[in-house]
Amino acid sequence: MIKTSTPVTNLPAHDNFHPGNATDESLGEADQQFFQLLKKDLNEIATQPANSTIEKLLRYSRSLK
Amino acid sequence: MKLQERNDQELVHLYLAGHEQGLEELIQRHKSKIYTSIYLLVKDQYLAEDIFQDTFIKVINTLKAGKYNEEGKFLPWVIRIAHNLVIDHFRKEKRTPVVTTGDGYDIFEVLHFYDESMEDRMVREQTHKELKAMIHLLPPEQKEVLLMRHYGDLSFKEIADITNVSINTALGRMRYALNNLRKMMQTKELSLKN
Repeated sequence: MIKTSTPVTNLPAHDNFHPGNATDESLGEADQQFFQLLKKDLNEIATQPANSTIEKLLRYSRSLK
Repeated sequence: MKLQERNDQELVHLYLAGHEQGLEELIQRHKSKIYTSIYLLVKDQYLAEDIFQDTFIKVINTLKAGKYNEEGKFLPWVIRIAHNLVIDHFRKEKRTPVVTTGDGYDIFEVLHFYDESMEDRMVREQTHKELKAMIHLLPPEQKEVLLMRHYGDLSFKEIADITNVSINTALGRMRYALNNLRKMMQTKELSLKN
């Protein structure tokens, strides 16, 4: 069983941090690099709904006219 | 101008002017990001379909009622609706998510990887399977930040607003999600390709 950790403190571990402007850069260099690598795989595991679901939605929308 | 060249706001206007193609393009454009965000939270393909459908019914009703706030971006707004419906679902069920083996289908599985050997493909598929399992193992609050940031392209401020926490907390959860994934990958000796 792999244990995951949860934050004890939420303060980023680097200086010059402005919460209102938080971007991926605010994550710190190591996390940012890892996230960049992860993005490709996150895109590749993306899934999509069935076409029939989308057709139902479009039919519903047309029915409201 | 082609529909694909129009931005979300223009498509909303088109739809409100009575052109159904505006809605169809919006759904086609964002369906994968929205559906994946829901699916990775609820871990059930059929439930994800239902929540995706309910999300867009709310979207359609709000747009048709003229209640859409044009100041916000379309995708974050839809992700917020989907997120609330997922929360509602778990509240109704009064249970925490359970890992299932049920899987959706990968978009990229329908594509052909002609330049990829059988071995590479098997490794890639195994990596994706492991990654999905690892995402499912993340604490829910870390998982939702990761999914909103990546698939919803939401800023940390938007995520903080949706999840009712401070920006610091949203950022902290993202860092922990990444740290946890990295640790799990190290444990399983899994690496990400450049």
